[in-house]
Amino acid sequence: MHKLDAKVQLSGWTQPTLLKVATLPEFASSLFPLERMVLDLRDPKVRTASSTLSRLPWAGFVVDGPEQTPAGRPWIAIQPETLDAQPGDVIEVVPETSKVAIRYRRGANNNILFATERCNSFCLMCSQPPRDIADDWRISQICALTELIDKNEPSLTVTGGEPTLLGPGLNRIIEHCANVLPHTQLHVLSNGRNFGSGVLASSFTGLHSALMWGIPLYGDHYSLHDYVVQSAGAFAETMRGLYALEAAKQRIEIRVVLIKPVVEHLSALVRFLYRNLPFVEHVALMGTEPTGFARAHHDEIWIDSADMSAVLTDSVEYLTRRDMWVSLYNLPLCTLPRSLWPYARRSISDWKQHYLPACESCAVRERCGGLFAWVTPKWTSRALKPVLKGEEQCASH
Amino acid sequence: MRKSLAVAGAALSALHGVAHGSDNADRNKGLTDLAVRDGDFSVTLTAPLNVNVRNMYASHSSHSSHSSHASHSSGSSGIYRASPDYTPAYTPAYTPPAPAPMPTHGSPGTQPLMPTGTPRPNADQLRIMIMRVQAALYAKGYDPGAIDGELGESTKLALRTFQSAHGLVVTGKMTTQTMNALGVALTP
Repeated sequence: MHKLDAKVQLSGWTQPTLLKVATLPEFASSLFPLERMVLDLRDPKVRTASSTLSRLPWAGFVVDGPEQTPAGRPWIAIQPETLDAQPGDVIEVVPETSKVAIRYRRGANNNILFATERCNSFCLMCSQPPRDIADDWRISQICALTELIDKNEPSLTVTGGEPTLLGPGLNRIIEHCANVLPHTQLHVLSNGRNFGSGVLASSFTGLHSALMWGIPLYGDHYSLHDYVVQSAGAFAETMRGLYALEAAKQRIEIRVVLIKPVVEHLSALVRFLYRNLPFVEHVALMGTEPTGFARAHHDEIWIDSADMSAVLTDSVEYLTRRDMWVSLYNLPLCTLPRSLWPYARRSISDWKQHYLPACESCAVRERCGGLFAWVTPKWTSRALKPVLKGEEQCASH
Repeated sequence: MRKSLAVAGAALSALHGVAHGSDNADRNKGLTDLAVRDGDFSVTLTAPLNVNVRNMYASHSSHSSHSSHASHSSGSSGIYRASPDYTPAYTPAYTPPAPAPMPTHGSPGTQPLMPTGTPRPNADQLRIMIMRVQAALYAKGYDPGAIDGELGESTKLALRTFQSAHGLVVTGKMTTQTMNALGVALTP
């Protein structure tokens, strides 16, 4: 697990600023304006060349300590133990609070663009409880951020909150991504409720060549779905939204969080998906992230993945037999039957991924997604134990 | 292509997984992993950095041959000094060079010195582009002498060594191929 922000020593900054951390390759690439980069003087090769390089109009410098700083220029002192800011990363310096936050991590498995804190659902297991605040400023901030992201970044996730609450701002973000990061797959996590009218959905047609919507569906019946998202009428809105997105030629992933009431009806849900939404490209069955609202609703939602084996096996087989692509997220391998291992993905963002001491001796640790860093014993499967060497190949035969 | 691979992988792994129980788990895993990398529905950047970009730096062989450098101290060890009124060369000056219009009139007998449509970089553009090339060479373990924006003998030698090591045409110049291999974009 890595920290994503920290208090640091800094000087010369007047307002919150997004900056790309640059060493020689970032300078050489000429893909990012010098005024939006900080030259990383902690890098020995950069220091060797710094006499001429540092005279260029960089926004400022990242240094080990103030003594390294070229006179009269803005600087940030970041020690590796304070914050792991690496070349290629995009950081935000906030002079008011003397804080630096990492907004993009080069090479991380799941960089996000945080669209809004607002949401129109209040899911039982929400890991990011919504706040009803005016945060439209994020639209231009996200656009500025995407301009500093590596051009070969494979994928980004737009999440929130409910991104469609940005209105046309979401279109602006997606269009901007298509322009500045044309090779980057964009994954937008939305509850799909606002697409019901069809007008919004069609506004995304042709906007981006590699766009996928991740939409949750928690039951084959409105009462279950509406209960999970704590919003009456949500099931009907999301279903209408899914059809509107399909009509607008959008690619769709269905995301199912495996909380207890959902798991109890999972077999019915996957059958419903196949019959009614056969056009979805991917179905993700996901373990709960034990933070936010989830922690308050432990008793209602917790189910040990060891107790899901039968229904998961049935659901995965049912979908794959019907040519529907399915993945398992956030579930440690040792808690799953071997036959499901091929479907398990290392889905937990690396900055919040964690292993337990028991995982030290595990033979499949490198293939396993591990656990969320905030996992506690009551959120940990009783089946959790190291897979021993020799056991890692299909023990069942 | 990659997508079809993912689909094939998924279908195969499904077939194997379902039809043969958990036999061939390794093979399944291989296929599935392959598909998973695709399953992120990612797009690979296959195009080289500089495509359909006019390279106005390729023909530049030495700073001393360039009249705009007359005011600079020359010599291969010369260190680039930023003038106080230095204007960054990559701002508007760096916008993709607009092709010069074809001459519609004028004496048909005059031969243009450079092919029409290949503008020449101004001194600041050239200097910073050479610095970028030097930085890229240095980052990749070649010694350009200094990162000073001067295309001196050490830099040209480093370019030749780099070109030869990468199977490129050895010219000692900033050809588009070389820029691609160095990871230097010709346009912002």
